[in-house]
Amino acid sequence: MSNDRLPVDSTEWLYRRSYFNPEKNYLNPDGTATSRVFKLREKDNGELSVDVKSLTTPANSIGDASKFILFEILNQSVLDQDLSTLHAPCTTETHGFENPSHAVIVGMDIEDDVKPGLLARKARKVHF
Amino acid sequence: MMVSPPDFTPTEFRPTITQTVHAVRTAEKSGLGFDFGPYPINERIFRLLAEFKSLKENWDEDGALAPSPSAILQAENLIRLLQRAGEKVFHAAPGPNGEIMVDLRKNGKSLEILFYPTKARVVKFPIAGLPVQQDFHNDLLPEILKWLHE
Repeated sequence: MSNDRLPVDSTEWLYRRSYFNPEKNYLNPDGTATSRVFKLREKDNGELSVDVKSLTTPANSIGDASKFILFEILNQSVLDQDLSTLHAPCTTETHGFENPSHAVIVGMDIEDDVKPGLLARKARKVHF
Repeated sequence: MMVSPPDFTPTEFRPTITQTVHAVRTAEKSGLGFDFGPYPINERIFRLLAEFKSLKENWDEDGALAPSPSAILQAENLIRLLQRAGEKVFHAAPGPNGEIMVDLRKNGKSLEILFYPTKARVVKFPIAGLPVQQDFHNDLLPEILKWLHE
């Protein structure tokens, strides 16, 4: 784990990708995100992956638009939950691919079902 | 053999969730099943739960676990209880850790009931203030539904 990762500014927007096929799996009937979009899983090691919007494009962040959907959330809404967002670029050497916009939300616990719900309620679907 | 509940006509009398839980408990103790009958308000949710049974490991291509059969069964039982009491469910969704989430919403409040493979939780999301998370069991239903409708 790198210690030199810099905090993402509170004014930045973050992209969070989730599965879309079939869309009901991670979408509420009103088009908002379910809390499961922001739920940690074991393999996350306490770090929820996001992209910093200003460093990427929706097309790059979503990858395959036939399979995935994109939500965005203002970083201030993340910080308001006593969480932190750290810029954590992915590199070919370490991760096998390049993603300079990659960041992680830290401070959440896998047993926590409150914060995923709060984040989902602050997020909105990205249309592009 | 199945025990049929009294013939409640929704316009005349809708059983409270307390009465429904009690009736189910009584049927369980007697070793008999409980016939909930057809109540269409949550048909969409039952269809979703049936579809979740077909999800395999890695269904979201990000390592999500397949929904646990016990989580789906518990969710189905909960929905039966809720619809018996005339309570419409907003949504149900699978999560990445094998869980099933059941979401109820009313007047800006939300209740998320989460069935994991080995535990269950409920989170109350109020209109204002901090949400509260606690372990869930069916006996909590009267209390949490009262909170939702207040």
